[in-house]
Amino acid sequence: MPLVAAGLLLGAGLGGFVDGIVLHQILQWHNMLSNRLPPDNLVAAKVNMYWDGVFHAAVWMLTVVGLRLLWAAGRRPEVPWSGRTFGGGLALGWGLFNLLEGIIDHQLLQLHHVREYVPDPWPWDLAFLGFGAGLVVLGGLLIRASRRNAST
Amino acid sequence: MRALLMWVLAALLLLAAMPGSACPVCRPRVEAAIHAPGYAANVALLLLPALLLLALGLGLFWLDSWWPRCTSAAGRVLRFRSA
Repeated sequence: MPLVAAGLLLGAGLGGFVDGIVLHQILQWHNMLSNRLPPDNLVAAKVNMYWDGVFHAAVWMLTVVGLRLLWAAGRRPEVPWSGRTFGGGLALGWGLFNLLEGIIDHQLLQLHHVREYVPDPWPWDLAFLGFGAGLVVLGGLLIRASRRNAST
Repeated sequence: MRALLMWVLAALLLLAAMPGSACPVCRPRVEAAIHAPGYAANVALLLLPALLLLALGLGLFWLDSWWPRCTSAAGRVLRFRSA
C-alpha cells in the first residue's frame, strides 16, 4: 500500500504536468480559467498565465510529496519493491487526476474545457474523462496482478 | 515533514509575489485582475482536485501503518473481553 500511495501522488503530479505542459502551453487548448476569462487580450492572457502557474505549483507539490513517500516506502523492509505495483499506482494517480479535474473543474465548476475554442467542447471533455477512467482500470489491474504474484 | 512545511510556506509566499512583472505597460491591470475580490475562492477552487488527491495519497500511506495497530488494539480489547 505505501508504494501504491507514492505512485498515486507521483502519477497525479506527473499527469498534471502533462495537462499543463501539453494542453495549456504546447497545444494551447485551454488555460486554467479560460471559460470564465477568455484569454482574448494581453491582460486576460496574463491573468490566465498566473492561474496556470498556481496549478503547476500544486501539481509540483503533489510530485514532491510523492517522491518523499517513495523514499519512505523504500526504507521500509516489509514493503515489497514491485515495479508493477508502482506502475499501477502511477496509472491510478494519473487517471484519478483526470477524473477529479474533469468532474470538478470541467463539469461542476466550468473553469475551463479540454478544448475551449471548438463549437462543442463536450466530446473532448468526455474523452478526457474516458482516458482517466481507462488509466484507473489499468492501474487497478496492475496492482491486483502484482498482489496475485506476491501471494503465489 | 518540517522541510515539507517549509516548501508549502515558500509556495504560499510565491503566490503573494507581484505578478505580471514582464509587462510594465499592463502590470497594474494584470495585478488588479488577479487580486480581485474572488482571489481566495479561485485559489480554493484551483487547488481542490490537488488537495483531494493529496489527502487520498497520504491517507493510503498512513492507513497502512495505522491499520495493523488498530486491528491489534481491537484484538487485544476483544481478547480482554472474552477472558
